[in-house]
Amino acid sequence: MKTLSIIIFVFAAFNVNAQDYITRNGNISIYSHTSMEDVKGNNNEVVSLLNSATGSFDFKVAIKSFHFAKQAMEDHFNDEDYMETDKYPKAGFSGKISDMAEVNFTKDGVYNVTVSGNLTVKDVTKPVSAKGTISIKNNKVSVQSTFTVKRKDYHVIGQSFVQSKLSDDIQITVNCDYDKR
Amino acid sequence: MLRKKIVLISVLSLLALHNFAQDVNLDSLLDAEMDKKNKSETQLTEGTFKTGRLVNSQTVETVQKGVLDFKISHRFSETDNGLYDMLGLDNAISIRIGGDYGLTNRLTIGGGRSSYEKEYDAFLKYRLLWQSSGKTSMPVSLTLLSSAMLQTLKPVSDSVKINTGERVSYAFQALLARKFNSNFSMQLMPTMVINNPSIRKDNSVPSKLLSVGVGARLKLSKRSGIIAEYYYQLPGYKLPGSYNALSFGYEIETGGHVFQFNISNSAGITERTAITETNNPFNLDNLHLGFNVSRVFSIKKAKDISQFTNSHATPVYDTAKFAVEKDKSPTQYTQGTFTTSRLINGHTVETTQRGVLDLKVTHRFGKLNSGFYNVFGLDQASMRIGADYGITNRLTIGGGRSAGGLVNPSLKEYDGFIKYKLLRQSTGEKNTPLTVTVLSSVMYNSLRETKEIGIKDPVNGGYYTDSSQTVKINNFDRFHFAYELLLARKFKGFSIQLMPTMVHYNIVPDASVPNDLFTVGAGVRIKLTQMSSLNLEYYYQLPGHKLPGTYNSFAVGYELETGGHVFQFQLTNSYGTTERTFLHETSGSWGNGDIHFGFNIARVFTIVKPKNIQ
Repeated sequence: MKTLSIIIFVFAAFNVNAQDYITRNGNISIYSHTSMEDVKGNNNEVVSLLNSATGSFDFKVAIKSFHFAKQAMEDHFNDEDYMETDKYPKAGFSGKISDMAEVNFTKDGVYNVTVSGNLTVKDVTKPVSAKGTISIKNNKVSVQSTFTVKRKDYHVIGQSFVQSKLSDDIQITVNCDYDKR
Repeated sequence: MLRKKIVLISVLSLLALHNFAQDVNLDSLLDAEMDKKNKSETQLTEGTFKTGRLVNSQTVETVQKGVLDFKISHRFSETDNGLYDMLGLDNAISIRIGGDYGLTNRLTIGGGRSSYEKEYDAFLKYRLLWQSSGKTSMPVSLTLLSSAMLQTLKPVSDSVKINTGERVSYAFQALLARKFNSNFSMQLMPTMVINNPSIRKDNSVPSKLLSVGVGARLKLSKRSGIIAEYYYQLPGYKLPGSYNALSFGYEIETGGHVFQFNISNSAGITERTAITETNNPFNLDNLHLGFNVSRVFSIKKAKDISQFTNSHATPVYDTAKFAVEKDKSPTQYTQGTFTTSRLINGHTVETTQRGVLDLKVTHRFGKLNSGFYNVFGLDQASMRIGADYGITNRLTIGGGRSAGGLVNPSLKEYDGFIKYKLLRQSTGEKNTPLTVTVLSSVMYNSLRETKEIGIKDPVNGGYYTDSSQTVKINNFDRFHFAYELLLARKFKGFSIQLMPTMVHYNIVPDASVPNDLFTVGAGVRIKLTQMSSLNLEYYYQLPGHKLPGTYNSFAVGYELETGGHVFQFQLTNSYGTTERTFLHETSGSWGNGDIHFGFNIARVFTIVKPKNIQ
């Protein structure tokens, strides 16, 4: 009897966690557009956790996993005028999906949601809110969202002569396919 | 009691699991993923050296596949002539123009032409071992180099016949390097040179010349470093009278460009000339200043580039949202009417940003119609080295030194200017159709009054025919002034500029013209791609404002721009790049084929950092 209740409890605990969705190879891209130059970076090694019960939603990325079309761009991105990757190797987001009640994880469909939370880049944490979609198809969960942040908020400055080639607003696109944990 | 225990256990396990679920912690999950990736892959050590050359030596570095590394190197004459020749800077005794191309990431072919002894060279370089960590660990990089050099200097007398085989030299090197940490790299270079031209001259010299070189780089900052190289020639395997070559350099790198300044006791740039034919010891009188510029161009696009243009990174910018923002914003100033502050020879409306130094190196080679032996003029160069500095975003000061070299030996000139942007083209609340900049410059002719037959008379025009003739030039007469009004507008895809100009001569070379000479210039930039454009520039000398024997200056240029660098190639009938020389003293005519090939390199350096958060 005692053993049984332990098993039941443990099982119940696992059950709670069945509402966690995880990815180890999510995609986040960043994009800066100016009339002079477009800069695109792509990261396919994003780890993220989504809890369908609480709506909590977290991301972590390694900065050096962002790759650019040109090696020189990538070198600049990581150097001390921009991301200072040696000093700040990771960036992260921790937030909540506000309209979680609308999303039915057992039914196929595309649900519009809003996520609010804190984005931390170069040890600067600022509140961010973004609209996006959660798509459910055959028990697969994918998340898609595009929003912009101001790079100067996160002390990403760069040399003065590149200012006209780098937009102040950086567009961030999230594209992650999740598996059940 | 027992029940309590069970509850406790279950609560704990629940907590633990819950914790585990929420904090798995993404941090350690990411670390684990990165770690797994690092171990499963081999990380090749990148950037043992910044480019394929130290000062004169090759390094273990090969060029990326499909990339062309264009190289221009200069060695100036010896420093012993002092300041009059600007420590040798007025005469580039050795100019090499060449390129390295990556057939694969490990195999590079390359070649070039040096004006020193009129030499062509070609080489093949293969990276046998590549320093790495991770799955495969390799402590060093090993690159094998084989090169051939063909000297094409004409024999001293016509009766001497030299077989092509006697003009060819070969060099073989094994380059062994290790990057010890991100700041320090070192390279060992056992070398064999077969120097046929020297063997021909002197049968007693050994046919195989052996030396061991050592090179190193120490980084000073992320983008700059000092480099050094030394070759020890083995006794018995060296040319009589030759010295061991020692060179030092300072290098700066950004966005596809490497700029190296160097000082060396060798004048040559290829293995034969730099390693085995250094004629002077390393002491203060015999040094050669020099620089290497290297610029990479992607010839073949990398295959995996497609991943950067996939749907994830689709630009959503040029949409209604942006249009709305544009309406809201009070005034939008037009950026980048021109790429840099010079179009080809003349100025543009652009000023340098506050706190930024824009270093300018300009070359005009000899006339294209000077024939193949002189590689259509490439063996001679007229140059200007100078800089612009932004005091504010609208106010720029600058200056430079021009030397005519063999193209026009009578050109030795200093210049200084001040430039102010009066009006900025803008849209939005404040609508300005044009950008207007005013420029005032002063030029000082520093040519000595020595007369040499065949040299152009800087004051009276014409050429000296009598070396006994001496004319004293007053300091006052050495000054020239230029005032220019620059009006420009940027349209979609192209920019147009109009520039009425006046040049004042304190003393005019010809009595038929006034001291104030007027011209009207027009320039246009047509954008070809995001980073390149075609430039045209024409200056019309008003009737009665034209020195006899001169032509209107016309130039066609192609420019390329990336991360702080602008590279311009041009064809022009002018040999000079200051207002006096190209506006009023252009002696060449397009019709006669008196066309100079040339290039401008502009490189910006941030002197005052922009404020962190505005």
